[in-house]
Amino acid sequence: MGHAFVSPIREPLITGRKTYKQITDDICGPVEGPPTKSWLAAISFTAVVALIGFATIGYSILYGIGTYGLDRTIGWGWDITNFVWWVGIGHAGTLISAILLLFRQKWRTGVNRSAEAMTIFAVMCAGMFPLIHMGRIWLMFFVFPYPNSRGPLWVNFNSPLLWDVFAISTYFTVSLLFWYAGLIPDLATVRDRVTGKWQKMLYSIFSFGWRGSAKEWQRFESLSLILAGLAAPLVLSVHTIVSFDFATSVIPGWHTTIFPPYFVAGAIFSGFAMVLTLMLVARKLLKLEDYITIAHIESMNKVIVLTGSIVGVAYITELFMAWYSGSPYEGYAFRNRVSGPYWWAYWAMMTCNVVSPQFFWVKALRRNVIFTFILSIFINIGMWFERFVIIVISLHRDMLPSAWSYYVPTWVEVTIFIGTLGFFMTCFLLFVKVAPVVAVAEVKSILKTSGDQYITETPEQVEAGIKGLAQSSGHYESLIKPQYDDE
Amino acid sequence: MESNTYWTSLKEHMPQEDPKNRDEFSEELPLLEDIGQQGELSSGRRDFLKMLGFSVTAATLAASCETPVRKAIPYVIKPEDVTPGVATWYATTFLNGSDWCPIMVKTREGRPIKIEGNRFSSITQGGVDTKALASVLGLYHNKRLRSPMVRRGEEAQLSPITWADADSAIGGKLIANPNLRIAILTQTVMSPSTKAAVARFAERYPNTVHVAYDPVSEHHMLEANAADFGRRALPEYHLDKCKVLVSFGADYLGAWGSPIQNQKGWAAARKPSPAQPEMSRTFQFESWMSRSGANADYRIPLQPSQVAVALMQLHDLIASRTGAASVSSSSLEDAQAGERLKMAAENLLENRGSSAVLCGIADRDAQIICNNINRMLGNYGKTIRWERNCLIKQGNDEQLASLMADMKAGRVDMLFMHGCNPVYDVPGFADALAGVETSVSTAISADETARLSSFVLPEHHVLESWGDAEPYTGVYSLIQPTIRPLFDTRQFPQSLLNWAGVEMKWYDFMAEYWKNNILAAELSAERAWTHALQHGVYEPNSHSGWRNPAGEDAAYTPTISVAEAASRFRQKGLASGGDVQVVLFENALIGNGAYTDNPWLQESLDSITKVCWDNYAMVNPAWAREQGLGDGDHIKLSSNAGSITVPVLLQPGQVRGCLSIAVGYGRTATGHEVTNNGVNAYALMDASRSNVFGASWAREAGNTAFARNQIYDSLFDDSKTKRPHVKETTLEEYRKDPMAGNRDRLPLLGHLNSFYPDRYANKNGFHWGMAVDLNTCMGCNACHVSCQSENNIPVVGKKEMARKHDMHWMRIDRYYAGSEDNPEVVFQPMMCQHCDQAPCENVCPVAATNHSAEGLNQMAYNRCIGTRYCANNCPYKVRRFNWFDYMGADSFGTFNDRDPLMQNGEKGMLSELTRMVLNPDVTVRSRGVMEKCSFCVQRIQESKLYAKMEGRQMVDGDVKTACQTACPTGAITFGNMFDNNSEVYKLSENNERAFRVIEEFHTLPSVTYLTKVRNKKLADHIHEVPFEGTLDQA
Repeated sequence: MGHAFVSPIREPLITGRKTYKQITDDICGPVEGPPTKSWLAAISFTAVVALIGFATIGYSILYGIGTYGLDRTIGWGWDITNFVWWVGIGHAGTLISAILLLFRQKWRTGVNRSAEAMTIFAVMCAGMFPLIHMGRIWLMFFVFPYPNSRGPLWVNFNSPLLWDVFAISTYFTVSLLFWYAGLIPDLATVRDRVTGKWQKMLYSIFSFGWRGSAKEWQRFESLSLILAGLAAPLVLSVHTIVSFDFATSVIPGWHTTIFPPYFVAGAIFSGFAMVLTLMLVARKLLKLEDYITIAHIESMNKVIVLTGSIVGVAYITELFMAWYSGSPYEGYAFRNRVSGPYWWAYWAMMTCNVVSPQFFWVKALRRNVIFTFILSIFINIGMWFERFVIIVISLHRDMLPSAWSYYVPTWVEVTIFIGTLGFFMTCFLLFVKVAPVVAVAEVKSILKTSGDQYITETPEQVEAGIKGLAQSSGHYESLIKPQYDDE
Repeated sequence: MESNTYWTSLKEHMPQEDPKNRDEFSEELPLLEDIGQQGELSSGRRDFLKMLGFSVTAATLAASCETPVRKAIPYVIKPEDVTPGVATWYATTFLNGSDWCPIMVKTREGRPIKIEGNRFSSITQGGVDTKALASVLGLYHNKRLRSPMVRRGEEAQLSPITWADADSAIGGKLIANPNLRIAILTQTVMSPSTKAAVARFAERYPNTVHVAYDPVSEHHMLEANAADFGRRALPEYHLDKCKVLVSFGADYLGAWGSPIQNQKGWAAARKPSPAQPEMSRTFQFESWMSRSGANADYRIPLQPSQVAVALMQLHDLIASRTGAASVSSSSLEDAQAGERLKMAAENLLENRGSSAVLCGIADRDAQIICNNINRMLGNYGKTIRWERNCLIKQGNDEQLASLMADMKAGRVDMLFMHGCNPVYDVPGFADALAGVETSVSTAISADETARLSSFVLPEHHVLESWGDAEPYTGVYSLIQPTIRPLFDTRQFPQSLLNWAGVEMKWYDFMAEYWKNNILAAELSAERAWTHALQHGVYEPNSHSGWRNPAGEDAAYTPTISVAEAASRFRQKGLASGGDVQVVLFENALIGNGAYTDNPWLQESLDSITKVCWDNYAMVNPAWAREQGLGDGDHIKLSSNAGSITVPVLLQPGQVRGCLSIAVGYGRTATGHEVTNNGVNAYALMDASRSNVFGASWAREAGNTAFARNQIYDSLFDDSKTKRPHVKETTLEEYRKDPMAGNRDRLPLLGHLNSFYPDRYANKNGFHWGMAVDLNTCMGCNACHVSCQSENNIPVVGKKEMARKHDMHWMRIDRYYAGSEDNPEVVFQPMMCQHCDQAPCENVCPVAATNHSAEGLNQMAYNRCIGTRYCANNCPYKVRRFNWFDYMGADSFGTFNDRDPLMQNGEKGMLSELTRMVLNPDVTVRSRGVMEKCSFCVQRIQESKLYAKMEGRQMVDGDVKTACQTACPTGAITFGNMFDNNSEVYKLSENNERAFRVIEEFHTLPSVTYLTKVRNKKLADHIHEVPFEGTLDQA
């Protein structure tokens, strides 16, 4: 039976006509070799930044929260802004790995591993802030409901901050499990390939004795589905609960029912932006252009234009409701956002989050790597400003004009934030060095199942791919046949 | 058959009705639930062994961990009157120059920790001012001198000396030459026994002169009264009897005259009720925004020279209607001010005998004109009385000037400077002092004068002293020690007695003086003495029918004719020369300079400018902008006496072309860098010591960043919508409708519903509440200093205040309305509202802030982890976070302590000595903890315990919060809202003026405010107009 012609409806998910072995080689290669000079340089820099950040955290703990620029009116500033920003960034990973898995979006396999890793590192950064912003971090265990000898004195289940504790810790746990479960077969692959004694031993330990039997694969698939099922609601719930920190309060500008969907959309928006920022660099440096293709970038840009527009509608709805409610406090809070002393923050947010993603309606821009990279940075900045706008602008002028104030961060807050960026990047660099940055096993599963004909792959490209393959494997002839034969 | 149970008393029959048997903890402590049923021990032998094993191990572990050793030394013999945990109160008097206030001092374990007013005084009636309240901190000032000091030769440094050596050195000189020319320089001496001691000294050394001066002098008024009434004294003003009060620059609610008495009187006349919708009307013609001006119904900003014109014009307006001779005044430049003046004249004429005209112009002739106005209005003997002379200010500037001339000329051999700091507050005194061979200062710390004296013989602090005062003739108050002198100090009268060869202790001398003079008419002088000592005051004739020793009211017998005074006054002019007019004033909050070293007062925000830790030249905002001056920009001011560089502050209501500066700052020797702050404005005063003069100004480089905690001055937002946090009306409207200005509350009241059951539905027990009368709050800050003292509130220093890290549990919000040139001002004390639906409570993740069964919003400091979520969610922004370790109370050691007075590694506020001021009943909060007003829960608990011990129910008035006891005008009322007879219930539940701040958020606050009523014509009421001043953006 000759193979039927399939109409070219989609682009290839993996370009370059890879073989299974080649995929393994491509992805595991950077893990196995010695660290490159550029990697060493990069991680040295980020680690120093992270260490400075941690030292500053230590300073703020030793001397007090007075080292922040907060005051009696503005109790949260960069600390909680950064918290919400980092949590939001984590959302893309979960969305890609859980929801897209359930929706059988095969393209996710190219990016899910690194996106999940990003989730975990982002949540680690996020989780730091609610702890270090506490006046007495050494008593942080008070937030856990456990039987104790103080009465027993329980936590306040009415407090959204407590819900945060549960939401973030659950989120972190599930994300970590999901990520690590996916890593096991790939770690086993690395284990089988590495030659160094220590490497072999470590990868043996961390691959949990994976042998790749059919039963293991079956259980692996089930576990992935179960974890995806668990993680999918978290995409919605975590940021909903984070938004409750504000929505359940009385402060005009915080007390808004629109917050849960608005925060979730914003989180996905910012998460995808961060995934793009990282992936665009990683695919270049790790030469993963064949696995993270322009099609991936375009798909993610489509999500960005959707969620960016949702966020834009939410911003405008807030303004409308402030006017429509007739509440003088609400009205003032939003007029003050738009034209008060922090007008620049509001308009930075509007420009970055609402105006800039609209460029992605243009296909050429969606597929332009440089443009996408620049825009992803814009969105990262814009989403940071969104949280700043919500937190600081609402707080700085609330009900009693006598208490109004103005907030400027100190070097401590700025350094801690930059430190978390350093920590995040350090974690990510470590990750790309020790673990396959693309889910090898999952990518292999999509190698052949999609159509053979792709819209953008020209015969020249095909030829070039095969040649490249042949050069690396030395089996030019044998490659052609099986690749195009599905008898 | 059942036998009857007989009972003998109601108590036996229903023991639960006896308050003694009632548990003051109405909620059960949850401990027993956990322990399980008492008496049924479920654990057996094995459990016992397990527990034994555990406890032995635990004890071993605990014992092997080294814990810091803190020494607590027990009493071997329990001192009488000292019961640990129980406060002892002493009645005494706060006295320093003309600052006088009878007080009650709370001591705990022998340490004075809190000051309140003495209710037995008929003058202050329990009122107290900030200076008296904060004096307890001065007692523990760590820069107090520990022993007498001497300057040897030309050394700049003082070195310690013993009292015996000091006495032999000074006494030796005295004995060697009994004709030594001696001068004793003091502030006003109100103490009759001190005067007697001085007299005894002068008897022995006949060439002794005693000169008294006041840094902020009333010399001219005293001279005018001497000319008109033959008495060099002030009369007694009964402001409570005034229906119309017109003041020309006299800050009668501030530092002018007898402040607490004035405040009480003013407030008494400003409490309208639906039954009696009457209140006084006050006019204030002034140049700077004084406390009296801020509270006046009509405030007319005028340049100092125009205030003088206004006074003369008022004289003529009154004279023309009473048939007296005119002083041919010119008319005011400002037509509107002229209209107001006519209105004031009309109002005065309608209220002859029930009005008063006060004059704060430092000029004898102006005072003579003012006296004549009051005479024409028939106010003497009614609202202004001479039955007893007010002796609060006695200083004589002329004598001071001649003393200085003598000193310069070398005609003074020995100078004693007692209770004054002339090197600081009298320009040119340092030069004069150089001409004196032996100078002795009695300063309690090494102040500016002490540093230039040959000997410093430190005086006791007033709380360690024996003494007395006679603020009005025939009205006495006593000073008794509340603690043994902390250091090797001695009272000045004792030194005088020693040198005069009187072999007597100062106490014995004083007691004998009292028995022989003041108490001479008493049947038992001993009993009267004890009684007076117990009560702190002795007012034999303060009741009706009292007459002063002279018998009758002073007769108006002018020795200088009004016409003569007026023509001289007109000729002289006021504040001539220079391109601006300058007014120096005493900020009643911090005083004339003697209290600048007191961090509580430094940190207390001026209720009008909202600036602390600084003084400044207040300028008209529009004028400043025209000159290109902004807040904090430095200018150089030069008068004919001297020049200073001072930052400007754009102050709404300040009149154009006039600058006003508070004296009392710019000290150089307070002992701490941070309290040597601001600029010494006394330097601008010339020899006449007039507080008003012309000066020239020039821009200087530099800018001072003020520590200002309120940057937005208006209740109006950008859409010109007024926020109804403060409600106002006019008397006119109030007469028609007692709910005027508060009608918008009615629709709200019907909507204050909840889905949840009302936890207070049965209205049993207590629900604590507070009512604040906005009509009588005048922004004096006494409440806020009292709160600081009671609740161990840290001092954070200027830098932290500038970062809005203020820790005060209560603040005075001040809002402006109307034009920037002459705004209406309103004050609103703001503290935790103890909301029954508190937004702070439900957001705390660890339930550190929660609601008590008695309606208190309480903080469990131990539980707080410092997320600050509660503060964010507080609509009133009254929660205060411990940003740093301000109190040296965290467990990290001392490296991170934030001591604003720390200097050269030496602690200030956190020194062992200064920490003695802490109230042991109130937890000292550590870093990272949220705190806020507790409604003085420690006082509530104490009152409950006393009631229980006495076996009675709590009654209204048992609990008084610290702010309430301090309020001189009675604007704050506290009590049980469930008691329908309580004062607070009447004010907050059954009152048309009652409203709560942002009630529409359904926070159900326990603090009620009463609508402010202004006695001005509806058309003149400008409150519905937004404040036009620029909104400070940062």
